[in-house]
Amino acid sequence: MTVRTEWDHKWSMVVDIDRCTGCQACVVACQAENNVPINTEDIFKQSRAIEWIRIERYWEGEFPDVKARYLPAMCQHCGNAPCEPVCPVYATYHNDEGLNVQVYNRCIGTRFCANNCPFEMRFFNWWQPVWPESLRNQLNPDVTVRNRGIMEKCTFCVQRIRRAERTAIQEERDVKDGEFAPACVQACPTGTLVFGNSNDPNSRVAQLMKSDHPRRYRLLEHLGTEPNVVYLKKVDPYLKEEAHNGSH
Amino acid sequence: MKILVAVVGLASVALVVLVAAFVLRAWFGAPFDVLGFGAPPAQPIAFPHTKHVQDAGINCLFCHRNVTTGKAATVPAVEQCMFCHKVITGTGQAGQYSTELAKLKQASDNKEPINWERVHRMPDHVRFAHEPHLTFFTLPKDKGGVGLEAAQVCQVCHGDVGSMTVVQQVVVNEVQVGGTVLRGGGALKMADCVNCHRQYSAPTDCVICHH
Amino acid sequence: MDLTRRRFLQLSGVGALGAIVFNGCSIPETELEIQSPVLIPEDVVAGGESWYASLCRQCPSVEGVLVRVVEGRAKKVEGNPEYPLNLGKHSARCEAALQELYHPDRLQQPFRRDGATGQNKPITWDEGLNELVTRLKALRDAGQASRVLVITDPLRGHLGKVTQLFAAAYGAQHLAFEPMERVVLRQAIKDVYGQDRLPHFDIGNSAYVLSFGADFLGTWVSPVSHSVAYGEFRQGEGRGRGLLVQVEPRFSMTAASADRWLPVRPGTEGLLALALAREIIAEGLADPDAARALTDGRGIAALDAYGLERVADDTGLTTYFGKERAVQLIQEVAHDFATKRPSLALGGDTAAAHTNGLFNLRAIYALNYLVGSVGAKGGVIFNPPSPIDDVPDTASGAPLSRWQEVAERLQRGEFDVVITRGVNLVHGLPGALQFQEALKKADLIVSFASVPDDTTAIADLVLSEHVALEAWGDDIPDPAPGYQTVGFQQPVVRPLYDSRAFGDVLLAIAPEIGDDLGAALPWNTMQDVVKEGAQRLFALNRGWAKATAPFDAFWVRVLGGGGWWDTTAISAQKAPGASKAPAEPVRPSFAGDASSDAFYLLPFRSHALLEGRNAHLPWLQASPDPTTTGVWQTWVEINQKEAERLEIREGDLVELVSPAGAIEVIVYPTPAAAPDVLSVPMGQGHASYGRYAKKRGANPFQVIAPQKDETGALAWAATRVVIRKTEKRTRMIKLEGLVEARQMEESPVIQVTRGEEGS
Repeated sequence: MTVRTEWDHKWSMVVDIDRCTGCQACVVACQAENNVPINTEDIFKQSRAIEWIRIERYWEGEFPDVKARYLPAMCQHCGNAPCEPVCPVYATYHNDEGLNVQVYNRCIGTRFCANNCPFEMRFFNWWQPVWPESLRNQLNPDVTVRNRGIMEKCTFCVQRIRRAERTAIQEERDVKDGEFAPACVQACPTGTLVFGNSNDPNSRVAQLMKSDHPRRYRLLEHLGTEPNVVYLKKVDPYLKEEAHNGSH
Repeated sequence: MKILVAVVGLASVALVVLVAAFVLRAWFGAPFDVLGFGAPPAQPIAFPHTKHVQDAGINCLFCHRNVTTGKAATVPAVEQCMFCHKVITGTGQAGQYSTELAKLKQASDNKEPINWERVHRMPDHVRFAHEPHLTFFTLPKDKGGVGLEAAQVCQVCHGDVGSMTVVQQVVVNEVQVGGTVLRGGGALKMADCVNCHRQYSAPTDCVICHH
Repeated sequence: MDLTRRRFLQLSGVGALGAIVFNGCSIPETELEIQSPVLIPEDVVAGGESWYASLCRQCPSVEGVLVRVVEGRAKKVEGNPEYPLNLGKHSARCEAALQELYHPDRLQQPFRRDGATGQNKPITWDEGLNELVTRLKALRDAGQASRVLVITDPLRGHLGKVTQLFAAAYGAQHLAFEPMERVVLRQAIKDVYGQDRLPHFDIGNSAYVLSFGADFLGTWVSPVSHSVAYGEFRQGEGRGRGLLVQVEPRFSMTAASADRWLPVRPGTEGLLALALAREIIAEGLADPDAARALTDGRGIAALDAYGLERVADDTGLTTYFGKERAVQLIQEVAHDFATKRPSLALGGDTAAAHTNGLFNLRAIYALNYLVGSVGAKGGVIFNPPSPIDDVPDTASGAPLSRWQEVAERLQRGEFDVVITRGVNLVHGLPGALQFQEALKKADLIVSFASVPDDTTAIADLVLSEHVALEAWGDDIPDPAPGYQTVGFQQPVVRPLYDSRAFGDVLLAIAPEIGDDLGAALPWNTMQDVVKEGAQRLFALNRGWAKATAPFDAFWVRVLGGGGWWDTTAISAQKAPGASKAPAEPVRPSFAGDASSDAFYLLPFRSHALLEGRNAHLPWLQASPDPTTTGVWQTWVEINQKEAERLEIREGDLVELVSPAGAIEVIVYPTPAAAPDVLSVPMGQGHASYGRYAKKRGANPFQVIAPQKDETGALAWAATRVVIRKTEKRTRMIKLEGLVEARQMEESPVIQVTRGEEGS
């Protein structure tokens, strides 16, 4: 065994919208894995619900030719992240493996980053999260429970990345494609979400992310934030030309 | 009147200075040994590490068996204590348990867990894992490690627990192992962690420990 | 004062200084302790964490899961990658099994309710079982064993066997209950395909799926396995993109994912299916044998009642799309279904829940004969019988007609003891049955429960039950994935409280009631029973763990793998072939106001709470509904333009009134609802079911009229309601609008020219 600290990793995700059914399995999986506080009725009423990954639903058309479009959305881990330069205490930064990292113990809760995120993927803890004592048994010991006054967001399940890298070090190898996945990707029944190392050209995620993929796009690409999450468009064989042009 | 104001003022300033000194010292190192702060926490059973380590010669890994494989070192289960303490009763007579060991026997008979007081505790936002540290320090030097024995590695941060009757957190500035002098874990503050990580070229990405 | 660090933190936590300095250090007491467990936990021996294979019992399809256990506590549920049903995937519901295990309102020990004061008195298991055994023994000795009624959820596998043996040996009645039972579906499968078991719908290999009413991606039959296949169906490698057409009066999440949604009038699904059949035959695209059988050799003249234009009118498609387009749509679906093979037709849920449900489903499933999809890849694949022959491999709730009979008999005082397990009869039966009052006529109601629900609230003796993660069990999936499969459920954590497993209790009390009962149930625990089942699988000497011997090694291997399956053990049964279609359609009939002021009421299972069984779990309460994104409440989906016409807005509270009763719900206007349909999610409206479900929302079963299909099953979509406005308003709580609503895509979808395969 050797001690290894450098990796050729860039963690990326592909979201194939044509597969998504809006089933919410990813959302609950994320909450279970990452100690996200329970979104009670009151919290929803205050519009302060925390969902690191959420499924946005958009209506298109009018009855009877109505369609629902699902868009699973999480932190885009932008290569050129607008949230990073505005943090006065460097609580959010970009690490070597392509992650947009939030350091909870540095955060002082200015909320500048959330204000600057065009995707609205950062969540502020307005209240101290509470669980009944017995439900605390479920909390994941690998993930910090965030306090009141702290910003949080999707981490690409960095604790799982760390675990996979530790295992790889012990077994003196590189991390294998598909060896692990963030909780949402693991749960997704339809295979909408794909995760992996996009620096490895043979990985599944790199194959799907190729710039010549006919269905490829990225969210709000014109803003130039270089999102690290690539979306593949929904296919609609019955879409009429005029409806398409009129929708936006 | 003026004297009273002066006295009260001075006393207030002194108090503030004292509190500030206390907080700062606790912040950057260990708290002053007053009001029970330096004292080790009281444990439900007075467990003498000296008896087990020095007298019986048991290796750390025998009881804290998870330390080389997992994040937590783990305290042994009651069942594991009873492997030996079925026979060793503390009084030399079978079935006759000493006061402290009787508590263990009782827990075992009633199938009750023992709630030990935590002595070394990382803040909630630190995800410390024992395994990589043990692995690195026990790795032979020619492979890039430090080449220590497992039991010696523990001392770097925990001090010489084997010689403590009651375990308490100590500030370890340096450790002598064989002929070499190693930097110690200090008071387990972040600066101590980072210094050591830098010295051994371990990763210093925040997200390694904070996630 | 002994000022320890913890004490200091507590003190400083009080003052303002503490609030600033130690804001980051609010430490739960338990984290200052390290517990040394009594026995060495296996995960500590292994180092770090362990993953145990088991089964998820949060929905009737029962998926194979792996549970992550760290230092004796369950942390995460994930799909078992080996388990043939879900292949490593799971639903939001599975995940919440943890919240059931650690639910703050779980029963910690049995209790007895004092009939006079209504007070609950905690008792020991011995006291509880003593009362039960004495009572059962006395009744049996007096020759009145039939005055005992055992009601459970539909039980498959060895727990089903033990319960059946117990009831039979004792002489008690045993009934299975599920709020939306599958009696009609099973009958249709039996009538059309001659099968006793539900078939495997091979969506993954299909090119065209035509679904009638079945929300198969959300809640119908086996949603996780369907979803896994659906991913392949859409964008699987090495195959073209499949097409999905959903015929359903409600815009379910399956309709939302479909390429085309045909909102037909409730109860006319069978009519449309036969019109499609007629069109396929008329175009000469049908399998000739099946066409001949369906038309009785008379050609399409036999199907004259299902002419295109007439059906377009009767299904309401003319009203929505205009006549020309409606006819065109039916022709297009018929043509595509017949030509884009392998194609698959399936139906259930709202298509089945009508007074003509059986007619609808028979017509729908017969379509598969016309395109050669019966027993073929990409179509309907039959399931083989269970590898262990005397263990129930299918289970279905009793139809409404049985419950009406039971309610009458209860009213007449014909039952002294009622034992319930895993069922919430008070919540899940139509309110019009007055089942709660009937149940109270019994002398002794014994309820097994882990979190006390509406039925537990009226029980006299409440026995605390293990949750699935603490208990032994097994399951024979229904439907199986096309080959023989047995899943094993093992306890992943030690029981948290003083609870016991239902099966273990039956086995323990049997010998005390009578020697013959003890002889009929010769096992000590469910673990023994399950292990004996595994022994029989071992003796078969096939399946994936075949080469493993001796038995103990085999047992460890199948437990670790989550079950036993043999991909070569497929069904040998042949389908009987199509039979003659009815010359005239069976029309649905509806209870309630027939005037145009009234709406069709379509209650639907919540994607997370189902009919209500998961309402006590906060993750699932907070899980947004896929189409409305509503949470924590009960709302009614109404067409936007209708809402405007009626001058009601989102957030208005309205009453839905049917002949059976009324419920108060929140208005949610949506573009995706037919103008004459109201849909209401099930799941809420519990008088008691833990802190997260109690007194929340409304229960649509209170307005569902007890209409029946010819099988006696509840026709839960056959009620019409009127809207009665109230002056009250509230806020519809939903995810929608939580963040700024804007479409994040530049061009959200890409168009594919008809006839061309998707990329």
